[in-house]
Amino acid sequence: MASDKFFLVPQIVATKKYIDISRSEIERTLNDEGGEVEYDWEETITDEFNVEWNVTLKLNISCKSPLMFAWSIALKLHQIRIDGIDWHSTFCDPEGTKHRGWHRHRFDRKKQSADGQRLPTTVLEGASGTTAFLIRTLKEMNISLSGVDHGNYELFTDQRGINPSSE
Amino acid sequence: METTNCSQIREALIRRLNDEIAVQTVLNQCVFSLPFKCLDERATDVFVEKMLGDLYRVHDAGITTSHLFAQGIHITGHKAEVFEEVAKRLGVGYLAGTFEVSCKESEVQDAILAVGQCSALATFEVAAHKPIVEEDPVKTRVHRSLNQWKPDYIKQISRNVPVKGRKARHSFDFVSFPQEADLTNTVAVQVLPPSHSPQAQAERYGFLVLDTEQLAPYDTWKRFAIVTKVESWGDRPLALVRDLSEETITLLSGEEDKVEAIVPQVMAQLSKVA
Repeated sequence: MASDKFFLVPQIVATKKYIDISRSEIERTLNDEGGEVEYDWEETITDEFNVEWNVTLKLNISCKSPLMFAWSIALKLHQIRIDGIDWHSTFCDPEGTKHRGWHRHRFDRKKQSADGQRLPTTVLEGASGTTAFLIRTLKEMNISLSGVDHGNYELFTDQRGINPSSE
Repeated sequence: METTNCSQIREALIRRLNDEIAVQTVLNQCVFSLPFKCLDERATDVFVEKMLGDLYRVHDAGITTSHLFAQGIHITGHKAEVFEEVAKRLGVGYLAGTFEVSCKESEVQDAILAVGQCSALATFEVAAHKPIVEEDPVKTRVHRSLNQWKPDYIKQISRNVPVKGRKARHSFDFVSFPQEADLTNTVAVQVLPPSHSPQAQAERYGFLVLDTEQLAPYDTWKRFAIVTKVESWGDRPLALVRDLSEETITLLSGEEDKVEAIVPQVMAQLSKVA
């Protein structure tokens, strides 16, 4: 039976992760899919003993609402949020101090959840629009994207990947 | 229970609610934080927007739906129907992922409580959301089966092997290096998920192959491609991968476990010098 890899969360959060997709492609998908996208990919993570592990990660981005305060981004392992950024009008940090606004979620291994631990972040201060939201949050979460935008292949190919003009 | 005690509790409850209800102005809207805890451990936020005349729009800005999505809880058609029903029973609506209602000034307080209640109730799914420990990723399976297969004539199996082409640097996921190059082939293994575009994935693999073609020592390496989620690939990109590899195996979603039985057979076959 497969065992969970939550013990790798500190390394996963700290490691520079790479998704083979461009920002333009994410923005196109957000536009086409009603403001929500979900990607999964495999990442190789090295633990504290220098042992390499392959994990499947998932990134959920929601920019559905016309109000940016309702947007959220979350990195997940085993379908559970381990990192993420969103907004609440009020929240408490782990020390019990009250804050307002954007915050980053921190994973609590005991509870196997990042719901309850929130740390204030200024990463989205003054930001507006999807592009700024993606650039700033992904950078904060150590997620890099492909610099190459392959465009929309569906414009040129049918479902079988065949370019009708070449037939 | 004594009446006086009940009154004291009531007074204390009112004080508590008074302390817990916060408000701030954001983008000309009042945002109320209510002491209804959602199951994702946040207070409920309700936005009040002044419209024309005596009319107000009270809503949750879609925060509930967005935060559920962040948890990986997708609002399917059935769930949306349940949310619509919950909203309807509390006198509001659920439209395009937002709990909302338009009302007159005299109804704003009721509307705030109703939207807040909907927002908190909608997070009930979080209670059932538990970790799903997936089977090992394909690369882990391939790595494991390569290590189990490794016969005496193989000196080393390396992972993430960098390859310097004429124009760019590339890498193979795994390479098996023989003890004696004259007797056994070097085999390079590449796992190819469909990524966001199978065509782009196939072309990138094509670039790796063409950029290292007729370039020692890579020109003698046998290429073994493992295509995953093959149902997402089109004929053309798949044909390109097949054309550029000595051996290609394809796996449908859900049959990734088969790779551990196939890899040793293919490796043994490709390692043999003709």
